[in-house]
Amino acid sequence: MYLVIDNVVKVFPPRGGAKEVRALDGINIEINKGELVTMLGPSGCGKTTTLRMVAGFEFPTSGNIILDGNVINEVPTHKRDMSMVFQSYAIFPHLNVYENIAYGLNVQKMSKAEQKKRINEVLDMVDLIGYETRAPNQLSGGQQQRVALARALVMEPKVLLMDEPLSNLDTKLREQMRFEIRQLQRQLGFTCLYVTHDQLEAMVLSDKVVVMNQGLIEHIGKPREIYRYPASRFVADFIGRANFLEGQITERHGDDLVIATHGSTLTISDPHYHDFAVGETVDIVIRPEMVKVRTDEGKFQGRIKQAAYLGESIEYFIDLNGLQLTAHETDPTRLDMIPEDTSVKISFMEDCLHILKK
Amino acid sequence: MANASENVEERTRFSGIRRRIHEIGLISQDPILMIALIFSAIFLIIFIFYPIFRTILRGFVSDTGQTDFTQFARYFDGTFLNGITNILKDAGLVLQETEKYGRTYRLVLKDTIVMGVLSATFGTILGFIFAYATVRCNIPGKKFVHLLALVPTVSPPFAVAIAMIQLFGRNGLITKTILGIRFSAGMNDIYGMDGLVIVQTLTFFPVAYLMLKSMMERLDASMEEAAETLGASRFYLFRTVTFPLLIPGIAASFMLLFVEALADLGNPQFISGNVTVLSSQIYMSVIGEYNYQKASALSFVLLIPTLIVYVFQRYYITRRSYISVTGKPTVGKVYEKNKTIRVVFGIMVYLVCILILLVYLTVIASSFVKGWGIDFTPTLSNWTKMFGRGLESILDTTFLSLYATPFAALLGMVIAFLVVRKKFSGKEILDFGSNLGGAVPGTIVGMGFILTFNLNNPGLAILLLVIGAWFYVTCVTREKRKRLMILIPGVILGLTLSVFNDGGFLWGENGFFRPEMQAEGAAPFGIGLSGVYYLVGSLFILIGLFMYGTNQSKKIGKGSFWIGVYLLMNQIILMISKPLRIYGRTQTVRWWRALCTQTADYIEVPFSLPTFFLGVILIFLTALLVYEYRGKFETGLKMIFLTLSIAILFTGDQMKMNGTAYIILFAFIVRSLPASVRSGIAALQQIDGSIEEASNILGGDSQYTFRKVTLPLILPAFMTGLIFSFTRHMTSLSAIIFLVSAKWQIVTASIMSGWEQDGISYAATYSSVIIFIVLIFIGLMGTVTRKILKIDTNIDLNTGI
Repeated sequence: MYLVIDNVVKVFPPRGGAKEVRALDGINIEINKGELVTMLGPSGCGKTTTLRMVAGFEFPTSGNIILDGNVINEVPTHKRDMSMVFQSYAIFPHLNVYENIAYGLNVQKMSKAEQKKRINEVLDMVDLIGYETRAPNQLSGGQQQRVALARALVMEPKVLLMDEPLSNLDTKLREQMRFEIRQLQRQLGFTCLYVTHDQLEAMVLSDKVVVMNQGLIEHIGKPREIYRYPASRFVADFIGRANFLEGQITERHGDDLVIATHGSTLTISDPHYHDFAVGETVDIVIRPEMVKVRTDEGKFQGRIKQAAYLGESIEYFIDLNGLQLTAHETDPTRLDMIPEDTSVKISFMEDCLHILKK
Repeated sequence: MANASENVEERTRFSGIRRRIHEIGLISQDPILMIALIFSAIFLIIFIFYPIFRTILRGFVSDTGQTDFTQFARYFDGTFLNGITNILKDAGLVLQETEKYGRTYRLVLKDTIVMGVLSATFGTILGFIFAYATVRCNIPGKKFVHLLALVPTVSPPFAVAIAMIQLFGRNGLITKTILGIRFSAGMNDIYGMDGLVIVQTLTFFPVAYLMLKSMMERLDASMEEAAETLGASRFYLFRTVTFPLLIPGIAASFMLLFVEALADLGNPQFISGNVTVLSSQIYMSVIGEYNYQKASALSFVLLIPTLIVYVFQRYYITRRSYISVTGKPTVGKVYEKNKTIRVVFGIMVYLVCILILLVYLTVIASSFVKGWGIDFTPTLSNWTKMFGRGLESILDTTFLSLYATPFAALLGMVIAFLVVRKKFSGKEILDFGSNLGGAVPGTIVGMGFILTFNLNNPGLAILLLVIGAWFYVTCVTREKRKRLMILIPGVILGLTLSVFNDGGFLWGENGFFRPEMQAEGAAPFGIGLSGVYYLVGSLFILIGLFMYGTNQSKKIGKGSFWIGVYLLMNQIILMISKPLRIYGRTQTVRWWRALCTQTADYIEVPFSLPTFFLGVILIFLTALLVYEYRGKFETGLKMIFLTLSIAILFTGDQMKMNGTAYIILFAFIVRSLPASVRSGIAALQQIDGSIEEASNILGGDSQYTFRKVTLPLILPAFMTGLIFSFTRHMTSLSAIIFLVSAKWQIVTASIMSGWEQDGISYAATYSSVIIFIVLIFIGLMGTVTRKILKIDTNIDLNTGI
């Protein structure tokens, strides 16, 4: 383990009329060398606080932050040998591109020749050759982003921290930068802790995703794991979208579980669920794209309350015994909208369903 | 998903304290940050809190040192509150006569309050008209009006009074020469309450104007547009939306004006006639009666409204304020649509502008005529007189103001940085304290300074020793044993070394055991102050040469060497300044003579820091030199540096500064600090904090970050701080009037004490000089900012108000 966040609690003391805030309630994260780990969660979940503690801008109330075997809780920021890309980029407005990137090297009193070599390398990496003497306010958002990245990379830090670095870019550029960061990370192999609230970004970038909510970790896993087998209702709902149906396990045959719900049964065949017992009540997680809405056949009876054409898919809001179900019809051959207020038959892609303990 | 709540210790009574200590511990990992914090704290304690406390206390103590409420009892004697006086008398707390003073005391208080209320009311109304006219009426020549309204804020405190006398007085240009009025006894002239209120209004309305202007600019135009679309008429709209939103600003400016008018000493001295206000009463009781108890007690009375206003503003107005102060002016502009209001306001503004222009032209013009009102023959006699006799005080004032300026501005930026960016308990006190010195009436600071710095204060010196030594040992090593090995011998040796002066803290001139030794005259032994300087200085140089020569540590070598040189300069400089002074005295050309002797004084100043201050700085500097050193003689070296610093701290005059340049310099800094702190805070709040964090995580520690990132970014605020500090220094009166000496004279104080003999034209000449110097400085700084630093911004004069 290279970077370990060990049972860290952060309580912000009451100050200036504000109440005491328990931002983190005992979190554990382990990061291997060369891994890119993202922390994902809604605003206020504590992900940025965690990052700032790793950076040394905040200090844990209890618990330890361990880097390469050493507890670094109270090591001041400037001695931590990390670097960070900020949400606002935090480019020094009074320095030009080259000087910005050279800033940290100057602190280390590195020779000018060595500096030049290193800076040219990173400039090449982030595709900013020729922009050395530009002032920050003459750069576009994307270019500023690259300067911030270059400034952090040139330090060859033990850990690179990124605080929602792409959230100020427009959609197209953000998609492009995602892949570039991923590629750079693969190529250079730096260890990276990355904070985002954008689940797509987390999916594309990460070796491991940490999903956080209200100061607690809900799930740590590979991108596929957290989507396919979310550990809690929150994760299922936060990563992508999900419908929840309550059901009861009635039978088990090897890996096959039979679950009764809303007057019918579903059979889930997956080795994942061996610790579920017959008779247990469960939440069935159904992604909208797993819902088949048909006029002819299906296991359940529902009624379309609302339908919307989204281009690549059709979104239906369906009333199922008083429960609202969201369905996405993504099959390009079925993009004829079923009119609202029509009674429909519903079935699920049962092999893809996931269950959660109640 | 582990829930670690149970691992967190329960909140106990001490957890808060532990947290605070922990916060300080985190700061102390960065010595320079810690030094900035401790230095600011020491500065506030010694130069702001303690003197104010001394002043308040002194009002309750008689000259013989007994508790005495006489001064306060006098206010009640003969009124329905007579009972209070009697209770105090029965308790034996009234030692002096109360009866015959009661009437005067109450009359003065009543006049003061009437003057304050009237000036504040008219000033706020005028300020509102100016603000409304410039922001909402789009009057032509807005920029000109704005600049003109700022002039009273950068002029000496009695310029308006002088001009009003010259224009409307008994021999006034307008009253006598133009209108031909002949004043006889009993006629209402400019002197007295009415004249004073007019003058105070004109002097202080710019403060209200600037406050209300920035508030109106930040008023969201869409709010008024929303009200309009809801069918509100213009007047209804003003009554129900605009005005209520401005009420906090109006209340704040009223109170600020009230306090400023009360604290002002310059204008009342010139124009109040038979009316006496509190500030003049304090001045007279020091200058005329040498009654410090009375002066202190009255200062306390003067302080009360200031404190009430301050608390009210902090806890009421800021909470009621709907307009954010830090926000940027809104883009949308709404202009007053009613033509009558536009025209009327415009005319009023122009009339006042003409009056201001007239005031300053009069001040300058009257310095060039023989006898204003009687004989308008142009003459340079005032100016030649001033370049002769007055030159010394002008040079002194300019030198001291300039010298204090960078320090005031820098300290302001450091405090602003700590307040905005760092987390520690007591931040509010730092913020409050740095404002306090400028917010209280200057008289209180002045009184406090004489009471505090006219003698050595062993208690404060020991406090400094404790803080300094504690900081030093915690900074230089982490091992408990080494800490003790540095601390104990260091303190003992340091104190012993200081005894070599002339008995030092034991038998020295101001030592503990001095009273018993008094009969014997001179100290029993000692090498004198210069001896200690030579000794300590040479030791620093020797250590420096050794460390450099033996390649132990080049950094310590160089640092120690230069500290030693600085200490020796204290004596060496005399070899230059003394001959220069002697040469100067033999000269007959007045200006050349003054220049020589004054230069001799000035070159000594940088090398003759008061020893207590120098000692503290040495502790900080040596700590910075050695804190990373882990080589040969580590403990010994660290111990010796502590020893030498403490030796200086306890040598010589320590805190006795009366009659020196430094008592004035510190008073200047205390007075101008709030302006630079506020402009620093305003600038820092505009800068994204993550820019500094970026520097941190790239390896820059606090001081590197401050130097390379923060300071360049707040440079415009720093320049504003410089301008404000210098202006405040040049024009300050009430704070320094008791601190001037024969050697160190200040123009404003000279005018105050001499204008009755020298005539008002001479006072006008002095005032013109101050105005010119200030304008030259502002122009110079503006040029430096734009041309040399290439900052493309107008220095915002509003931020410092």
